[in-house]
Amino acid sequence: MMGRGDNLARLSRVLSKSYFVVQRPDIPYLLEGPDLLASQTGRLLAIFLPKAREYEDWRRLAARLILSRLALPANTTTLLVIPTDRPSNAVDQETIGLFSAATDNRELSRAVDKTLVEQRKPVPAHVRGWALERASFLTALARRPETGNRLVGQARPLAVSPHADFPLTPPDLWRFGLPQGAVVERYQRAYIAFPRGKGSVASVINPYSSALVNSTFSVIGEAIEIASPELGAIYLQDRRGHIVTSRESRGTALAGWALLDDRLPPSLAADLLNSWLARLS
Amino acid sequence: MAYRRRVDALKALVISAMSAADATAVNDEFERVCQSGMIRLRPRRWLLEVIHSCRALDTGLQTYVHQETGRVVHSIGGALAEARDHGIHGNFLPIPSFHTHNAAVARVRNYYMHQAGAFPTTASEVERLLDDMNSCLHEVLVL
Repeated sequence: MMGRGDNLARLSRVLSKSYFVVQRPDIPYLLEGPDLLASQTGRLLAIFLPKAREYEDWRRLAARLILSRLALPANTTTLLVIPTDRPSNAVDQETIGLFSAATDNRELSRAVDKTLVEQRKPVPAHVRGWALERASFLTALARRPETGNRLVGQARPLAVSPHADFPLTPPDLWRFGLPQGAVVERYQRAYIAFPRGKGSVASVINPYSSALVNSTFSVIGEAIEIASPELGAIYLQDRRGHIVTSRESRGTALAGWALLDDRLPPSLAADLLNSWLARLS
Repeated sequence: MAYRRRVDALKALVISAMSAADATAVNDEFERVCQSGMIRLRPRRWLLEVIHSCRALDTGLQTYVHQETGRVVHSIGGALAEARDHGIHGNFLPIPSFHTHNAAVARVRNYYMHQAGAFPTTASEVERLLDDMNSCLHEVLVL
C-alpha cells in the first residue's frame, strides 16, 4: 500500500505537466486544507485524499471539504482521490457526492480535465459572506477581547433571512462527533468548550471544528447552505504558557470557534457570541 | 520550507484569479521574497523580504480590485476600503478584518517604505508581518 506522501508526490508529478501544483498548501485560514492545489488561469482545483481518521468518520472529511471551500475562491472545483489500494466501498456514496468529482490514482489526468470544465455549484455568496463575517469577528475577539462590544456593533446585518427555517433549538452538537469526555456547555446558540489533550493545538481542536461545521452547514451534493447559525468559544486546558498563533486563531475562527483565554470569562464570551448572532434578526 | 508552502498556495490563487501577465508580475515578487532569504546580512535580508512582500501585496490587491470592480485604487488601504465599502462579488470585507489588515499591514508597510534607516529588528517580527500580508491578500482574493 502506497503511503499518503507517495500518493501525493505521484499526483503532483502527473498534474505539474499542465498546472501549477502545490502539495499540502499552507492556507492562512485553514488548519487542515486540501492535499493539493492545481492552478491555471481562471481555474483552481482542490484535491483531497482521505486521511486515516476520515475513513473512520466521514464527517471529518466533510468538514475539511466545507472549510476548504469557504477559504478558497468561489470558482474552486474539488476532486476526491481514492487510492487504488483501498476497497471500492472505502468511501460512501453520499460523501463522494459532496465533491465536484471523484476518481482513483489511475484516471487522475482525465478526471482533472473533466472536473474543471463541468458544471459545479459554487458556495452561495450569502453563505460565504456569513462564514467570513463570523470568522472575522471571532478572530478579532480572540486577538482583542476587550473590544468585544465594539466588534458586535461592527457586524453587518447580513442577507440571512431572519425568517429562514432555522430550528428554534440548535441541534445537539454531540451528534456530530465530539470526542468522548468533551466538556461543552451551551448558552442558547453559543457553545463554550474546554478541550484537553496532548498533541498539537490543531489536533486537539479538530473534532470540535468538525462537529460545529457539520452542525452549522448542510450539504446536499455540492450545494452548501446554513442549517443552524451557531458559534462558540474554546478555552484550551493544560496549555499554560502557550501563545496562540494567528494561524491557529484564524483557522479555528473559520470553523466557528474563538480561541479565548482568561482575558474574557466564559459567561461574558457567551453573551457576546449570542449578541453577534442576534444581529441576524 | 514552511514559508515556501504558504507562498506557493498564494501563487496558486493568484494564477487562477488574474491574467497570466498580471499573475506573473505578482508571483515574481513572491519569488523575490524567497530569494531574499538567502542574503546573509539579517537586517538587509529582513527588509528585502518585507519590501518584496509589500510589492506583491500592493500590486495583487490593486490589480484584483480593478479587475473585479472596474475601480482604480492606489494603495493597500484604498483597496481594503474598496472591498469593505463596495464589496467584490457581492461580499464585503468585514469591518474587523479591515481594521486588522490596515493596522498590521498598511501602516507598517508605509513605515518601512518611507522611513530612512528603518529595518525590522527580529525574525519573528518579519514572520508576523509576512503572515499578516499573506492573510490580507488571501482574504480579499476569496471574497
